[in-house]
Amino acid sequence: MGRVYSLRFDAQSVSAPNDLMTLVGVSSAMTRIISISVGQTTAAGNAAAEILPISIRRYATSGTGGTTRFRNPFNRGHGTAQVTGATNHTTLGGTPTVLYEEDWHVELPFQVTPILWDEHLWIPPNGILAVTLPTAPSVALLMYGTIVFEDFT
Amino acid sequence: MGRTYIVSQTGIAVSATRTLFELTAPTDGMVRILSVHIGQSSDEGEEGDEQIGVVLQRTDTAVGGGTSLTPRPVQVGHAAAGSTVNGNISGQGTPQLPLYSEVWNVESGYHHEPTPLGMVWVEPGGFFGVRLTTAPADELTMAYSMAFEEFD
Repeated sequence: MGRVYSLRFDAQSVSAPNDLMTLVGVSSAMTRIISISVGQTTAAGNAAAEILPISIRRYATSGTGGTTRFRNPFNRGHGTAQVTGATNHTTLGGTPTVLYEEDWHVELPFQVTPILWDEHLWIPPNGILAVTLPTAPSVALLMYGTIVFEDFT
Repeated sequence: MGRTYIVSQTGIAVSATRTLFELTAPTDGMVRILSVHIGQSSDEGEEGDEQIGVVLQRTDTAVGGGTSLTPRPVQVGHAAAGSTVNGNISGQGTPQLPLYSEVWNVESGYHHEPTPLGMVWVEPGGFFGVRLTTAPADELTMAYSMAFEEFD
């Protein structure tokens, strides 16, 4: 069993395609995705309703323009995560392979919480996985997101 | 397997950022957070729709204040909880070590029900909080609950 961490961001304005959260695996071990959630606080009510595509994808090269984030451990005694993470890359990563592709109603959370063991997504050693908004929202959204993962180093 | 408890508050008027729950784990055991549910009964329809940020976090020091709540065991016969829980706290806590940053649509409810791998563990004597990070546009009459498991 590995050590569990979350990568997250709060209140980030998103008005263009964006790699909301990106994890980069370590060279020596696999990484397992436990859950993903994305939401926004700007748009509410019928007039603001919007449905946007959202995807989970692997990249050959990571996006750029975002912020490197600390990954908080779920168990206080665990050390710093070896898996690195960044949020809100404004230039998307290169050579995408789409794993999940869904339509997100922006007034409800986008959530991926695999129940079955075999449904979990894994990041291979040195692999890159991102949660991506591939198209621009019609108005800027103040967005929140969390990705919980298990580090096996 | 530990002992499971539930705490809740209902009919709470909230018009500002708020720590809905702060749990302080007992000094002799770990606590696992099983679920958090948040709702409100005052706003409905197009005009009442609203999106509010919710953070589940640890802090190094207690926020303090609010109302002392009594955790209820889900099984009759279990001892009183070793954890203490306060509700409806105006403070935010520092430093905030957020684990989940999520959003609550006030008309559909917030439901944090992670699988076991995604459950937060609170160390002996540690603090865990459920925080509204944005103030409601107008006052909400709220109800919320949290289930947790204690391990001696």
